[in-house]
Amino acid sequence: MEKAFCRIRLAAGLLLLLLLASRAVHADDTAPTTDTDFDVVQVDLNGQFFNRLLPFDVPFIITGAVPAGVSTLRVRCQVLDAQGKPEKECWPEQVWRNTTDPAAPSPRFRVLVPRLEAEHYFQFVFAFEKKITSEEAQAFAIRVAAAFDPVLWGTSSSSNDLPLRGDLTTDEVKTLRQRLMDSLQQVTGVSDVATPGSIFNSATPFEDVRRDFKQILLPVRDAQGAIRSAVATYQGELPNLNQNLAQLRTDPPLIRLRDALKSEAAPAGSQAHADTIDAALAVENAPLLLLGDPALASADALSAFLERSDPYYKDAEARIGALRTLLGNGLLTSEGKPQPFLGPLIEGGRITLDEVKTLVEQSRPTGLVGSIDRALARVDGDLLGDAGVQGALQERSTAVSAMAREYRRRVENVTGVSGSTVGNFQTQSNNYISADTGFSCSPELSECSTYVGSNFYFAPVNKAAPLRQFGPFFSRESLKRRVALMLGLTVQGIADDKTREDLFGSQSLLVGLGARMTNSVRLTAGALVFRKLSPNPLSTDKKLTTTYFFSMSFDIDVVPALKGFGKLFTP
Amino acid sequence: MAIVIDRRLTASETVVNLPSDAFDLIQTLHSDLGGEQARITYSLDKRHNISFKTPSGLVKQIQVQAQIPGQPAQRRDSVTLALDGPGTSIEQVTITQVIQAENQVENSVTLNVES
Repeated sequence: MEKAFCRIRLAAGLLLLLLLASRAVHADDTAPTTDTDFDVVQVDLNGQFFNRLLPFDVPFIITGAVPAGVSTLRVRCQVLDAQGKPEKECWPEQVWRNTTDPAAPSPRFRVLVPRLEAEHYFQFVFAFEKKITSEEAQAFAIRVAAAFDPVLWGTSSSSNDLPLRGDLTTDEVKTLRQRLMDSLQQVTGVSDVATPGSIFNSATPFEDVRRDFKQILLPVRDAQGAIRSAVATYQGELPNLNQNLAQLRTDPPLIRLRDALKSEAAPAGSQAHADTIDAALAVENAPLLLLGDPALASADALSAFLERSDPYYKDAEARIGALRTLLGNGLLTSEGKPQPFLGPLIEGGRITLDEVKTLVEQSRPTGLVGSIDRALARVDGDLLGDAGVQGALQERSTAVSAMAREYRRRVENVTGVSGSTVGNFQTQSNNYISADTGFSCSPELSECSTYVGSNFYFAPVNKAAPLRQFGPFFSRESLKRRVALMLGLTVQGIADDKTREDLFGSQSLLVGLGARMTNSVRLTAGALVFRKLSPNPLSTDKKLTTTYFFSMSFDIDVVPALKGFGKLFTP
Repeated sequence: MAIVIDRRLTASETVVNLPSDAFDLIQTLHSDLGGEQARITYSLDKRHNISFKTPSGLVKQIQVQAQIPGQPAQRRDSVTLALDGPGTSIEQVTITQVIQAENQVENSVTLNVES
């Protein structure tokens, strides 16, 4: 009866074993995320991250979005040392070529990459090649013009002496190159070009870059030199001009003439002459443009200053011009006699003939009004003329545009490269323990039993990785993934109640060392631990003892199994 | 007396080898007084070793007396540049001009230096 019960338990155990073995064959804790047989890892080249922990020991597919127009993508992987520095290449560079239309929108790449070692840190470097289109080159030119403008002008934090002129400093060259490369990357996604000697090629020596910048940017700096010269000339003229304007406002003969023209004694039509004088006396000082003035902080600020100043000069020139005409041509006749409208004023003592003659002298080129009139015309020219600040600003703007066009020409239809280093990543490393179930036999006991065991590997093991790829059976790499310590419990007891009994209730302990023969089948040898009963029927002594066993088992996936078990208790 | 710049200073060469051949500094000027005498000074920065080559030797400044007419007229002043001492790290050189008359007018031109 007891033997029959034992057989039933063995049969039930075998059935369970078959069920679990079948589960083991299909078990896979690194299930592919697409319909391929490979694991698929998504990479975000902009965010520079992978969407999951990288698998190990198995080839896998890396996929992600690449910028439109990419023709080739190269993937490099570097193993990092303990200090996080690249130690060696994981495998030869992997290349993806865009066999579809490179201009297609939202392209994605897929690269099958060789396996990675477990428990290592890796650095991935993605580099893609693309041809820079005409539209991208145009957008790049616009961005370059905007990015270069302030750097070439200079900043008030470094100097009040703006705009800068002459030689480019090393710092300026470095900043300009950085902005150039940043603009290229922002517009085209390209961070380097393959053309030897190009300033867009990161391998081009700095001195060559510096020389190139100087050649291209010379017209800009030259125009800035002209701006500074014109500004200096303007600044030089202003003290005299404003001093003369102040003197004019209080000039006694002029004020007496105005007052006379406004008096009751003045004949009809004199008021218009008085208004001409009043208008000239109301001319304010010319706008200042001092060293360190905010108007010199940028080309735009200076343009705004010119715009503000333009009405002043037009108005001042008109008023002073009208006064000069009145004084030069409107007070005395060609014979040098006072004009008829002055007669009653001179006779009435409101103004003298000498004062009138003094005023006429003031209209001469070197007289007070003549000097102001000429100075206003010159200063207007210094600021707003073609040879002045305005002209030089225009020249600069043209030079900046020419520079942008030149850079556009240099990148258009050029093959660019973009590097994207995708951080440091670790492969999965927690797969040290697996479960298996099998059939063990102990020759000394003439007993066989099913059992369930746990295997403790000496290294992480990915059961999806075919063992044959790790070399001969006895190679180090192969043994690392095959050999494990096993700790298990028999499903059926081995007790006979005469000579032995189980270690725990109806189960005994198995301790052994096993090796996987295939991905799921394992052979193990070790010790079966049980209690030996005393042969003396009157003695109740039990002695812990062992006997050797051999077993064949199948790996099972303990995690999905436990998950399934957990579901039983989910409401 | 006052000078007006009609066309700003340029050079007949934009790139010079040192020592350079003679090249012209060109500009168009007039006097708004119908003509006047002016003193034109061309200068180089004293911090580098590029100088003007003159019959009396290497100098940093050249002065020219000029009669500026009342109508716009192109003016050409010929200069030669040379190194005063061994080598230079300068790759661009700015020639500054100051015209002194009734007023003071400033101007400049920048050239590339081939080393």
